[in-house]
Amino acid sequence: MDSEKQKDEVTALESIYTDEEFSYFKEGNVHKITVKIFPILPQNFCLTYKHCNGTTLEEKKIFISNLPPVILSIILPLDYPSVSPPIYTLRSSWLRYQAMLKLCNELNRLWNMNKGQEILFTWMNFLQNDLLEFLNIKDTIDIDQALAYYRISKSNFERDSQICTTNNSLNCNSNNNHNVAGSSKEPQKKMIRNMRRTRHKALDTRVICDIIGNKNPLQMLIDYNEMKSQAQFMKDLFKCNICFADKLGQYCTKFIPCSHVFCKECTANYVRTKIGDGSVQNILCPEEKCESELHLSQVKELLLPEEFYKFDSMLLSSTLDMMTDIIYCPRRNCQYPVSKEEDEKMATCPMCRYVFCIYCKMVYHGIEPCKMKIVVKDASVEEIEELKRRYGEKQVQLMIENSRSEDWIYSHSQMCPKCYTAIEKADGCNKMTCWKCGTYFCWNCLQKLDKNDPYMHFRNPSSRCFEKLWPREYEDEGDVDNEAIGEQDLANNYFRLFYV
Amino acid sequence: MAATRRLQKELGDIRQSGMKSFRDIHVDETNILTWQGLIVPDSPPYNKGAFKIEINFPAEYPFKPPKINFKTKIYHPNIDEKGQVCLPIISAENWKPATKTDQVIQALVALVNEPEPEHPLRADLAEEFLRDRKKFSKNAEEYTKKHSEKRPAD
Ligand SMILES: [Zn+2]
Ligand SMILES: [Zn+2]
Ligand SMILES: [Zn+2]
Ligand SMILES: [Zn+2]
Ligand SMILES: [Zn+2]
Ligand SMILES: [Zn+2]
Repeated sequence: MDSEKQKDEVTALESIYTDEEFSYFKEGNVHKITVKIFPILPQNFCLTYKHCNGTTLEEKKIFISNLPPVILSIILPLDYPSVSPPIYTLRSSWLRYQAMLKLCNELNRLWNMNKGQEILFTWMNFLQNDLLEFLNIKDTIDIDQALAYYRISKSNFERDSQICTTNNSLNCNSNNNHNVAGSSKEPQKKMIRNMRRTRHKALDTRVICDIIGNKNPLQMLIDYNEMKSQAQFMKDLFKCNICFADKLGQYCTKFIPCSHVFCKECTANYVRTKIGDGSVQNILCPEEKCESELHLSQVKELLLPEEFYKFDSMLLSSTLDMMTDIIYCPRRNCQYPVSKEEDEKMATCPMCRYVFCIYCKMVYHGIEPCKMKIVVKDASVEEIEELKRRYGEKQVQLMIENSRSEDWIYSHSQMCPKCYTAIEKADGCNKMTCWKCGTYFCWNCLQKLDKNDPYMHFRNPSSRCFEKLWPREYEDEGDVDNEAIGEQDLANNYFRLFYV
Repeated sequence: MAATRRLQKELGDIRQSGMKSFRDIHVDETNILTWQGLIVPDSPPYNKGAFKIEINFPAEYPFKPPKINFKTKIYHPNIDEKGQVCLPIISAENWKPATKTDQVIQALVALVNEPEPEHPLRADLAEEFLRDRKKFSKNAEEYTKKHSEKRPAD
């Protein structure tokens, strides 16, 4: 009779819950059941803890959307449900002992109300739907206590294991407990005592606190949430706003911190376009106005190894150009590699004989202070070291040589005259806006433009860029002698300061 | 190829949404990369007419931005005599591949309705706009009546 009822109950539960939520096996005639309750967290649920920052205590919050399951392990006695209740243990890595005890008492109460009837569905239903509410948990879990236990049990464990070698008595029995408490005045000892008392009480065989151990509970919960969110992301469906297709998360890239999601194929093509344009410095989220940046590790995951190598060396050479011994002739239609003499502030292009300042790339300005020099000086030592650490000295040298054959950046990139950020331009008008500092400047001559009327530069007949708002390909044929470099062009070049 | 699929979807969506300010969209079946349509502004003085534009999408769309040209002459500080317009949302340095054509058109219509004399392509008109708004409006209205397209009936 009981065995029939048990069989039916288990079969019914099996059909309601997933394999992960409900599983069992039979040992002889005995059902051994594992129930995992995955609490459904409200939006903006967070872990809170206090962080000691020097002298002040800060309240920290970490938002999570998953907590590890509360595990109910059940053995059905042969006379269940007619006489005996199920034998169980309740296990959690994040609930406090007192809370778990409350849950156990509630489970017992539910059984007492329904004595003689199948109880498992009622229990599962209660734990699944009412657990947080029953324990009065709204949208935070304070894990200070767990963290304190962790710290103490860690130091305790270290101390215990030292003492244990000479005195094998520091185990958690009540005699020793008394001794430790009595001989101590330190506040920490009090906590140990409390903890041990709790542990002692935790001999209530129904409750298993997974908190005690050598794992940092905060890190454990963060890792679990991360792992679970990632698994969920892989299974979710997203609409890619580039190709408009719906794709599973496993075929998508998520930008951080905005959480905008695009399919991997489109994101990869977006990066490839950036490589083609030579603007590999900051790959921003493809969503309008969004400024999240693609992480280098994501780029690596998206591209083929040889593509990533190219990307990385472009990134490197655009950084290296600030500090290498090889510099490029800043004249746009020359760009010949020029080697810099040691301790020399000026370089002469062997190709076109342009003499320029190696720091700002302007026509050599003699003893006048250089705007660029300070920037390079500040950046170079650490950055070069960092690059060498990252790539090895030989590789860095190789990259410099590789970058010689890359002509992309010289024709597509200019430096903001205010903050020296590289600004790329593929087409469009010559009024540029620096993405970093917002300065308007002229693509032709790199002059800063008036904030209030940046176009004046192209309208004023006395300006050197008069009527040059649009690049040549936009102008009607015949307006300009396209190929020949006239006197005027050379004169213009004279003023140019190109970023290479 | 990716461009074609997306543009077909965008075109369908725009047609279905029935944008009042952008209509009569003509797209050659064999070349979805070129759209023609009618901008129908609702602010004076441009609400006296409509303006033909052409949108050209590059083969790399949406990784590269579209270009817009006015085919109808317009008296506007931000649109030059050749019909070129400098619209930040589609400049190469600002372009984002998730930006949809209807966002671009909305930005364009907003610019037509609200000239930005601080960033003019035509200084003479910007100056007139700032100094003598009445005169500007009168000239623009006359110019619109003379050169622009007929507004759709509804
Ligand atoms: Zn996509
Ligand atoms: Zn984003
Ligand atoms: Zn040169
Ligand atoms: Zn200099
Ligand atoms: Zn800048
Ligand atoms: Zn200029």
